Amino acid sequence: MQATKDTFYVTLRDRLVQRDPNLTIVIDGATRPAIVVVENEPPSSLARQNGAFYLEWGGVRSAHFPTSTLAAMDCAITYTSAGQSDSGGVDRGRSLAALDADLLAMCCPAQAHKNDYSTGTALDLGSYIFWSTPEVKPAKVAGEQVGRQALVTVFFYPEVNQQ
Amino acid sequence: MENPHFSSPQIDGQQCRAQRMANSMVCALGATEVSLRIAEPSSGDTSSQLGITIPMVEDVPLSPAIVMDITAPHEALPRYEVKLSTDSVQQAVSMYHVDDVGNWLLTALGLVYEDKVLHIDNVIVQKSAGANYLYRIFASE
Repeated sequence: MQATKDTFYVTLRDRLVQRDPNLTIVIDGATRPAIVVVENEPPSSLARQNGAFYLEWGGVRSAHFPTSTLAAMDCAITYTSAGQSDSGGVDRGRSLAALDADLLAMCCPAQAHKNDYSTGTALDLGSYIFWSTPEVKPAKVAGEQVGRQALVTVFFYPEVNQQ
Repeated sequence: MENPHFSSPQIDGQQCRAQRMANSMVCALGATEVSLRIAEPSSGDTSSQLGITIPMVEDVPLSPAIVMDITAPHEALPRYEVKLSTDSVQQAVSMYHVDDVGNWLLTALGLVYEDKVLHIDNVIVQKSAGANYLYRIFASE
């Protein structure tokens, strides 16, 4: 299961770098692509930043029990925008739309080779993960921010010797 | 260049007065040292993004400090209030080039006090005449 989480994140991150290399954030002094798995970060660094995608893993279930071992895992992707400071925030909707487009581009094609990253390098596990089209929820306004959440279901076959 | 003696002498005086008061209070009442546990800058590589690399931490001593146990009778876990003056944090702030002290304290990994690592729940920065003079850290085990 961890390999699925890691593969999904690394795939989306690499696609984001290709699509929009300038979309970065700084966490703990390191500049990195603006996509974060919440459970992988120190609790102290979780002040959320605008213009970044935050991935939170949800429940896991069997997708076709008992005919198949295919499993499904939910992932919520949250992102917000406050627009540009020199525009008074009136472009925050446009910024959010750009993030929407980035998300849809990152999620396409909806499959990837599953790799094991536990040793620090990618080890091909010989199978694929695939996922649903993002279900993009309505935008919510909170103060100067506008943001939304997208839900993706990631499908995978649990590896015999993998967690 | 603006002459500081004629710019706002009353406000400058008020800033110094509050800071001296806080420094005196902390020196007189707090012979305690606490340490702020901060994370060293992340490498930002894939392993750190995946939560594989354990972040290095550093304990930054802050003294003098007043540590008060503010645990309410019905609370199971101890809570503390730690008071720090500008002198208490001055050396660390200079060393780490901190601009926003309140946020730096709030986003630290924890507070080390008597071999216990406390979780920082909240930080209140008290100001007088626009200048910080007392940092109140609320922490719990």
